Amino acid sequence: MTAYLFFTSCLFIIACSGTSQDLPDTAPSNQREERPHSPITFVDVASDIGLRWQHDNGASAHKYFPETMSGGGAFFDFDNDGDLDVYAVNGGTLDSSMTARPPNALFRNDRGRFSLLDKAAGAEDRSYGMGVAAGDIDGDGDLDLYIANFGANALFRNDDSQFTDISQTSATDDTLWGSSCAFADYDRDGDLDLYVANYVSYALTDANRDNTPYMSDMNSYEGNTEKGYPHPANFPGSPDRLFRNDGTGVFEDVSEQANIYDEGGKGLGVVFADYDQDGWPDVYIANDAVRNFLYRNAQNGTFVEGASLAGVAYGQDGQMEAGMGVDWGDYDGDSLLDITVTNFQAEPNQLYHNEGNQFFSIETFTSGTGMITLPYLGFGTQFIDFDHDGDLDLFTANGHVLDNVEKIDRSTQYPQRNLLFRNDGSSNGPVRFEEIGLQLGLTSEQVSRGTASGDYDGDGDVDILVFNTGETLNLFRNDNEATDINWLWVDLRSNGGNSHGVGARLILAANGMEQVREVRGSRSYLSQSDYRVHFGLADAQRADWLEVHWLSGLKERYEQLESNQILRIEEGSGQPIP
Amino acid sequence: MINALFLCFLYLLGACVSPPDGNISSAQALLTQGRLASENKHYQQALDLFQSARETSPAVAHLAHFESGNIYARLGQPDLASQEYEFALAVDANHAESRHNLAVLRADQGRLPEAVTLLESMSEYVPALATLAVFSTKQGDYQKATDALQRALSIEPTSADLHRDLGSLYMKQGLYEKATDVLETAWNIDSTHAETARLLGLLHEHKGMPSAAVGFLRRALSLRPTHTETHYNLATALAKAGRRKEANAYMQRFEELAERGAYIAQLRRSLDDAPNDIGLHTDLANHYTALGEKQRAHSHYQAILLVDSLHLETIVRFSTLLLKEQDLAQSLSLCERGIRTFPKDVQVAQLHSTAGYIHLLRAEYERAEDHFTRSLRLDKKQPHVWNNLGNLQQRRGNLSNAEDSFEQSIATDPLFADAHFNLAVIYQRKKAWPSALKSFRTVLQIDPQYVRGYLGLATVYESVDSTHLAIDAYRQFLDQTKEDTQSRTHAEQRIDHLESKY
Repeated sequence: MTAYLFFTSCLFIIACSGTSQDLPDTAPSNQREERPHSPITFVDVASDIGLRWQHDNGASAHKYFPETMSGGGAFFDFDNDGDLDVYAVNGGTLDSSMTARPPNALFRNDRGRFSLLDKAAGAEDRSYGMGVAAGDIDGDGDLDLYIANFGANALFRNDDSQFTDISQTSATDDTLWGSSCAFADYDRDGDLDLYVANYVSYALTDANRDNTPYMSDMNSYEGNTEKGYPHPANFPGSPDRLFRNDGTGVFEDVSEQANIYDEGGKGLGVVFADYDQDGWPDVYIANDAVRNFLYRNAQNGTFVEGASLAGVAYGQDGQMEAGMGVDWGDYDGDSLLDITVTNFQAEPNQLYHNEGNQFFSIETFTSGTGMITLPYLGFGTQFIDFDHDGDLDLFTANGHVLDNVEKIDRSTQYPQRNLLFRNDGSSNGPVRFEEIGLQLGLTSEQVSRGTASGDYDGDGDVDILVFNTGETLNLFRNDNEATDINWLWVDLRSNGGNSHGVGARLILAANGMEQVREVRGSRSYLSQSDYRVHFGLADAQRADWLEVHWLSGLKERYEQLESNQILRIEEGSGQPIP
Repeated sequence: MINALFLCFLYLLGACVSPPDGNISSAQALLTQGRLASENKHYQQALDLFQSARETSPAVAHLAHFESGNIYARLGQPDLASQEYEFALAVDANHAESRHNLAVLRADQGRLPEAVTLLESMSEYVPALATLAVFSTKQGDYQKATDALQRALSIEPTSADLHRDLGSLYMKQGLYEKATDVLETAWNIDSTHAETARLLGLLHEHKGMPSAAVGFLRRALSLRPTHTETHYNLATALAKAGRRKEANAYMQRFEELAERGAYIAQLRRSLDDAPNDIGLHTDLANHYTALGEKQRAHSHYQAILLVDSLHLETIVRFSTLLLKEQDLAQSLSLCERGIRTFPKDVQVAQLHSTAGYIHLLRAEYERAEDHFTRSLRLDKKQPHVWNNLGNLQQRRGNLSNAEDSFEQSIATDPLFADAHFNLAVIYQRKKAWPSALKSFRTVLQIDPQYVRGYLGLATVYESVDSTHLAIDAYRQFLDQTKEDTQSRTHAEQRIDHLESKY
């Protein structure tokens, strides 16, 4: 006689309760000498070079949801002097009884040292900030700034390094809870349009905000009830916005006619790419706790959503995951852009491999990234070639969402270390990644959110900027001692309003292999990276050739490009190709 | 992002009984009675019996607590259930079943590390090892999960479930060669398990064998028709095989199921805060009923009745569900409870209808007629009750009253095919051929798949010597039905007969 009882376990509760697998050791300082010598180290130089800044997430006993999701910024050249400046988005208190909010910060880079600019050169925006995107909306060559907020979003026009708030006149001051945002010329009319991922419909004013669904009750080891930040499933989704630029910096909300309006979405990550190689920018959205979206550009001003059948909406078994940060990149050198998505603790960060026929396969575990990422809660993520060997490596920034998680799960912690996966560059069989962050000096544990990459010091290496919620930021300078390794940065300038060539496809041949990249600033989580495109050339002294496929339709070729330079390319300066 | 986790609680009869004392026989008898009551869903009675067993002999106290814990767990009362399991462990710290179930409840309450710690101390108990593997997988500790399953397999090497679980774990990690070995073993041991079929489908898809993948996934779905993940897997496999239209249909169904699953998860979270909320239990029961998960639906209905044993809406819904599941005794018992308590409430019309139908099935015609009549007295607009009353009257040979009842049914719902069919049969018996023809045709206009309508039509045509039309109707019947062998044989014989006559 057997009695059966059945239960359903709630994944969120389990997920919040954490892992039993301890986080990998965080390498105490006395072990550093024992590591095998690597020619590459990452050194957090932020405070040494003037990036002294602390994010204020306004963490309170009310556990307001935005407090744990915020922390983005930008690596961009706002003053057109050829080096990367830093913009950091701030939060502050959400308690209505306290009104003073700290400003966002803009740091100008002068030969590798940063200085804080007064009132962020006009872009200080004292809203509760989330994400940022930079793009030249009016074709004047300056990068303008869009800030996605918890509250009305803001657009700042850049005129000769001074910003003016044009949020209202540009009609982009949307009030939904914005997260990541991205500029792209989706309709290929020559100017930059704007996509804003919105998270959930969440109100601060509810009378019951100290109870479910606004707070989670969790059982601590001590037998107490711990209040925690809520789960996104407790709130309705919020539709994303697509703003079409009329060419003058005034935008029209075309979300519905472009078919990207979906009230079920809980967007946190947004990234454009031409994954199907038809010449039109497509867009992938990482949603939290609901399926992800893949909008394929229908080439007529509309998109067709097809993530489910393409195999990039869910985990392997159709389970919805907690999508946070995203990036596209051709990690296996087959000229097709693949996707990485960071997820919650105990969910692997997914690696969707583009099969080239509108389908993707999940290579999360076969690539070696799945198992390592399981204990971490990932946010920012980027494909970068940190070692100049020509293949794309992978960086992820981590940090829990529960600031008291240690009380309910001793196997994990609120601050977590970040991960750096080196691509083995295999040409025989599937690519494998090896996590080497600790070996290369990425030892600090913080509550990381946004990440941006770029070469701030002009030495050719890819440096990594990490934005931490409620903490100081990190600028991990890439110090590469190797002398026989080469690189090339390409800085595009196009003829139309999209002055930085956003969306252009670059194909470079060197060392008998081809690398495919796209000009893409907005990626990862809440962040803007360097628009310049990096190629690792390994030991090649020059690239054999470079093709640039501009969104205007022009395709050009450049031959025999010397390595170790930042190459400015103007549209129309190359050899046209069919 | 919700995954259902199913765990079975093993209940080992007679295990761990302490040395006899003076009252142990009586206590064991009380335990047995309690288990019987529990099986019959008389939970309060069962709880009382288990309490009596404890009071009769301390030697069975841990078993009585364990059984009580199972009942509370079944009724969605995790705090009370945990308390009972803890009592059981206080009496017998080695009672593995209580420890296991307590761990499951801890996990269900979001206390997963604690659950894992409880399970880790039971390295010889296979259910604990299997559950430890599930929880470790949830935590992302795949190595611990693998170790637990391998340990369990060393104890039970022929377990299909353990092989399948290990295969699933290997699949998650992309270890396809290892997965192939254990999943094929699981399939060889038991080829009727849906999850093994699903995993084999995924495996074949990975190996680039789309036809085989689709085959296994279809098999999985036939074994478990409302399984969310299988719909997704089948949709993607079909899409990759170029069968996009079919893929879209399965993907649509997947998304419906996933949405329902997400909603269920949300309700369950709310239920954690308000375990006695009748509305939440009702919603969950309805969702589980729609998903075909009867045990879970039962649990929630029972949980409501534990809070309010006379909750009429629950009595109505639960009795209907039990009737569908052919649990006639339980259904009738609930109906009688509701009818006795709320004789004039309009909702009781449904209870009379259900009770009447059960009596009709049992050929207890007088009782059935009494219930149908009282049901219609409370609510005249119930076409199915008029129809059942007509059936009853027909069985009792009262064709005139039956005809009236079917007409009442049709007047209430003109598109009710059953009533038109039954009326046609009455006309047929009365040899009112034009009326019978008209009614059978109406049946088929309303529902062209109503196969008995073709048979009825054929019979009438035959009766009025419309041989060609009769043959056509018989053939349409044969086209529409593949399974009713006896009727098919009859139709074929009639066609042969009519053709030979012609």
